[in-house]
Amino acid sequence: PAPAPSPAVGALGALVSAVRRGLGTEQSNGARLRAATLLVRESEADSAATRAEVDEEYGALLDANPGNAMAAKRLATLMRSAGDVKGALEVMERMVAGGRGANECGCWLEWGEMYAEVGEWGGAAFCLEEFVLLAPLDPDGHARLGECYATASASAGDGGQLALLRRARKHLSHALNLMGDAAGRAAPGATRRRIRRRTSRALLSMASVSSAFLDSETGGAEEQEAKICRALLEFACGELLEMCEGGEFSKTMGACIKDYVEDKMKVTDLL
Amino acid sequence: MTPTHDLLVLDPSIRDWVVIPLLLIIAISGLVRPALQAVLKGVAPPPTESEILAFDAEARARHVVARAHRTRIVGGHGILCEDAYVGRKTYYIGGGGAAGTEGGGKGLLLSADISAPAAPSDPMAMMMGGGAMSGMKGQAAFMIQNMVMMNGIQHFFQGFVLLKIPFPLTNGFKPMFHRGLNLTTLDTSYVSSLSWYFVVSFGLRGFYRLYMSGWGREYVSDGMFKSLQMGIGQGGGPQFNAGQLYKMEADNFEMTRFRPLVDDAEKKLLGKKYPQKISLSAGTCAGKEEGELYAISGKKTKASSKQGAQKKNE
Repeated sequence: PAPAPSPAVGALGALVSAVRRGLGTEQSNGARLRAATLLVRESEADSAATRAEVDEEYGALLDANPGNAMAAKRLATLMRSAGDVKGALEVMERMVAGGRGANECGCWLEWGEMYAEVGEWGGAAFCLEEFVLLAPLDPDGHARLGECYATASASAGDGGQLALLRRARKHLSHALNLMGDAAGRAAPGATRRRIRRRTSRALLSMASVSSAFLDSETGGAEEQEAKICRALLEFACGELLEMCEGGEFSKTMGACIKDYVEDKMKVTDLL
Repeated sequence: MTPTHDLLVLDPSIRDWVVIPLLLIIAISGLVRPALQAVLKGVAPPPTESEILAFDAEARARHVVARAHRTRIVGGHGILCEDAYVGRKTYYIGGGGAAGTEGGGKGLLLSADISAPAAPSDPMAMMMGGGAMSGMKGQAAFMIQNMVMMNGIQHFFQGFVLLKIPFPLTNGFKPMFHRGLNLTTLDTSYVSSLSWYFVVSFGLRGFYRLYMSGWGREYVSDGMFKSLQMGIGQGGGPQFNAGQLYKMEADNFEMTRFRPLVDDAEKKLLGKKYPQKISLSAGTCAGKEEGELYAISGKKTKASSKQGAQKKNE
């Protein structure tokens, strides 16, 4: 069931109704007023039929003006939330091909997440690369891109798998460098702790990617690459253990790492 | 003659009948002016279908140029891995191979079918029918009002000294505060009627901007300066030439050298723990002993002497 609309939405709805009553018929069919009305109806949509009507009206706005970025984004969001991710992808593609949204970080991030939901990792990686070009200093972007490459490598052929894992390692390393710089600049306290929590995910991804590289048939045979992977694995595991040192979780973490990397490197000194 | 610093006694009636009324008149005229400008400017006619198509095509072209520029600048600085950057570069400018092959063809920027914008056949028609005329109409209200106010003040209040600034000012401020007064000996702190008009007009702009946030704001911020331009065809500006920009961006792509940043991220992360590559293995140069890297006759390196000793023992 749809949640009850907030008081702010109720006030907006009353305002839109008042404006419609005050304007003539022709002006109340203007695109902006229709879009505002649809925003209000979105929050009030309590049945599938009403939601379908709202989708249809957004589609009509888009047909009248394919460059209406607001309608395209709302339609894509509604379709995605209703489970029609492929339809949402088509709407996004039409919007960007029409010259809208290509300079917005949020657009590329959402689009990448939609591709990831349907399992199209190539598309997801492309969208995250565009996001990273727009926000090169955002460590989360690089971390997500690294994870995307790593996931895509699982379904790639032999030649492609190593190349994707290599890219994943590099972007995760860059994300960790950026996070380290940010943590170094932050004052000790809540901000630094928050940054370190973000770092733990990237470290786990790094450990996973390095391990996958070593596990691959040809990856382990490339001596220099294998050394780099072992060094990265040692670094990631060491940082993770240091992060949870002294707590109950540290024993669990230590046991997991031991099991995970036991056959890949000598971890007795590390633990 | 030296400027006099004796205090002038200003009649309080000047304050009651000149300063305050002028202030009110200037403020009210500033508030009414945007409405008058909007009425004179009129409502723009709705765009035709060809104008909409042209606008969309221009928007698409601008986005392509912006993305290519971003890829070249940010991606070229190593934010992407080299193979990802090369893939994008090939997409934009082609790889030099035959069309249809992987990495071949001209690329998006060089193969796009874009013609240069058509030059206007009748510049007068362009000026009269376009935004330039409506812009000039909008500025007419400002110009007329300005002229009326200035001439009115000069006619009724010429030679009036209205008030004194409470702090001393240098002689550089004389042209600003003594407009319409030809008194070289008067202290700079005194303000004439015409100068009071200019000070209030410019000083209230910030107030107008706050009061009319949104509607009428365009008339407040640029009205005075646009009227000074009085240029024919000023509203047009340089036309967007997509073909030229595409070609320029493609040339810049050719010249950009990739600099690794993400590619070297592992080295930076691991620091001293980064495994160094094994140095050159046993020399393969003809005539050299194993371990001797460079041909320096008669000189033996440590490695070669060790190996020599080992061979002797064998």
